[in-house]
Amino acid sequence: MPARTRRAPSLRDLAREREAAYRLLGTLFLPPTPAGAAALPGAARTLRGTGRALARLAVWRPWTRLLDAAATVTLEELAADYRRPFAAHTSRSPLCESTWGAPVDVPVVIAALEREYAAAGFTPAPGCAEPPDHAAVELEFLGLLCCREAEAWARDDREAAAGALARQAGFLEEHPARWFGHLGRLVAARDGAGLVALATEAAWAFIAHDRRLVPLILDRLSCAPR
Amino acid sequence: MTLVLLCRDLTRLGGLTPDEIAAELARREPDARLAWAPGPCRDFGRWLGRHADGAERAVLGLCAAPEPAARDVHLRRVGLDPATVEVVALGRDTGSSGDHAAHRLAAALARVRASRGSRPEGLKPVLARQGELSRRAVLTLPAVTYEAIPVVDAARCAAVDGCRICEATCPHGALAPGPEGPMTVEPARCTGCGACVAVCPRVALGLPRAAPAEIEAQLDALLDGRPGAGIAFVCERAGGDDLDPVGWLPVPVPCAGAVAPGWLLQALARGASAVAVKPCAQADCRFGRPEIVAGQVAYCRTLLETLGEPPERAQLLADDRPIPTPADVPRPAAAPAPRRATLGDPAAAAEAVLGLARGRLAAAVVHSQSPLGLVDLAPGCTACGACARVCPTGALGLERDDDSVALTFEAARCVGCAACAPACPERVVQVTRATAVSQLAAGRRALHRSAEARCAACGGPVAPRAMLDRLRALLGDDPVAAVIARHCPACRAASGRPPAR
Repeated sequence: MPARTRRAPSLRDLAREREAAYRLLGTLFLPPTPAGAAALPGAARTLRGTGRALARLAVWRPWTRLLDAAATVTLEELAADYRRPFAAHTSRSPLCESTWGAPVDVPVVIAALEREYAAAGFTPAPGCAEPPDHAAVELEFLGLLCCREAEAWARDDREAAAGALARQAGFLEEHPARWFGHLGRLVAARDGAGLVALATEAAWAFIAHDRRLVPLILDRLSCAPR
Repeated sequence: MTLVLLCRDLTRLGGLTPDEIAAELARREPDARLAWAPGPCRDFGRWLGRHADGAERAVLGLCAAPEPAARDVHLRRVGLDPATVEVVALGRDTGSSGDHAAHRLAAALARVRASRGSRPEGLKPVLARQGELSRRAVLTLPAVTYEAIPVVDAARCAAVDGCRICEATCPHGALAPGPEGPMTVEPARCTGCGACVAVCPRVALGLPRAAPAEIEAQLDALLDGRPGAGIAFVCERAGGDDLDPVGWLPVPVPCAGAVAPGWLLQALARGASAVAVKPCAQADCRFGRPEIVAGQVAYCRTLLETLGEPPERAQLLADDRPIPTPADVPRPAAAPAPRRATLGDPAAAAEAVLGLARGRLAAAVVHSQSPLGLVDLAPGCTACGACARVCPTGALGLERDDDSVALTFEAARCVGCAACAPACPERVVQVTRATAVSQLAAGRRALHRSAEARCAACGGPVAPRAMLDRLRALLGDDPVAAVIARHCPACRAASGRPPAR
């Protein structure tokens, strides 16, 4: 449990912690690498020791279950956990919105995401082999929006924070919320105990939670004095 | 691992001794981890943090129930899902035996073990209301509490076939069929009362603390070894002593609106001497329709009276009247009836009625809150089966044998939703909210039977004759009618003749 402090967490703390969560979750949906696997336990332990804002929210339980499991995982375990839920799935890119979501026109989804990313100034890294609707890319984008929000709070720029929150609300509703629940149910049914299953459970917990919490924070901001 | 954490202060109140409770619990629930802690009622979060490590579920035996929002914050911080935690306020059990306290704790354990926990999409965050916000306060994360809302199991939901029972029951307009078929819940409108969960004939709506499986587990554990106990379904927002009405064994529910009349009847049939519903007195009641709650209890009383039982066996514990205890209620004559249906099964209410009726076949009650319905047909049924296709419980069915087609009806499975009436193209289906023992005992019976027309070419079934007669009446001399009546769809297709629409 995080240490007790008197000061209540701020919205900036929350944005920073959500950024870290989405970024870590994003990496867990990519094929494991030796460098990533080596860094994961340390990152998980660090995040387990922080989280003053998240500890107040319903995402805390699935998040800490994931962090506890990630704190001791090895590359071999990670690779097996990554393969297991999708071994029977033969499509090239199984962790994509267009694969797991409701039947959709793939180019339409990709185009909508590329527009969304471009509008926010988000460009996947040059070496990124994943398509724009890959779980890791969508979660990384959410991490970026949380980062923008945190920076805006740090500058005391409420307009920019509200803008980042509004973008998060729209993106969550239009993309991850449409398919992560479905993905989570299927992964849980195939492999309920692996790290990918815990990551999917935690990712869905964040997405389902934030799609409702973010609009509430936005509402509160709009009612507050300037 | 399931934790049972008990407040040591309870020992100062009298009759409850730790050894008694520990021994009784160890006998009933050997797998549970039992911990006594001094002062959890005073410093709930601290003691929970010290003892809850590794627990997946918990039962907390406290002097008094803590404030729900604060309780849930503490539970989440130690990694417990509030949906898998049950608080049993034992302070009122002063002077009673440790066995009685252990009995209530064991029943709570049965309930948390039956809980499937909360799902992320079933939690609605709510921000603490504040007055005028200062500039600094705007930057602070406000206190977040959660309200549970139902989650629809799309694979079970019958909305795609036209079932609208939950939509019609919800007083807030929070349920509607989604674009993909199954019902969807509008979180902004939903108050989490659970009324929809209680009426869903497919158990397709999941709401922690209102799930029939949870309620059933606690109910059975409370009645186990306590025949003649009084069961009170208590709104968890009732607060304070109202959560634990004197003399009754409480079963907490999210709202009195979540208690189906079938649950009350099942509790009686399973051996309770009396049942009661204790609503909250909150102005912002989650269900907001106290007249329906009162009507459901009134239905049970009318039914009991019709069955020759004391109507006092069903009570509404309202604030404006002295609260009776089960001891005030005349003892029932009947022994508990054997049961087969689970609480969420649409046939559970019928099974309970038959158990309570003990052969009084003439008893019948017509009541707007009857959980059971009766279907009758006016003349003109063509046995087309449109009503059976939309029936969410399978009460209506279409059965074929060599020579005939029968529209059949099983009253024990009819929940009176009336989805069949508008589906009938001839408008001959009539539904009444009624409980008739003779019909429940009759099992499945044919409401209408029609001879089956046979194909002139292959001898296969064409359609019920009544339907073909109706077709001829509609089409008159049109030769299409004669072709359709003479050949089955497969032979018509093979010969290039016009298919039936």
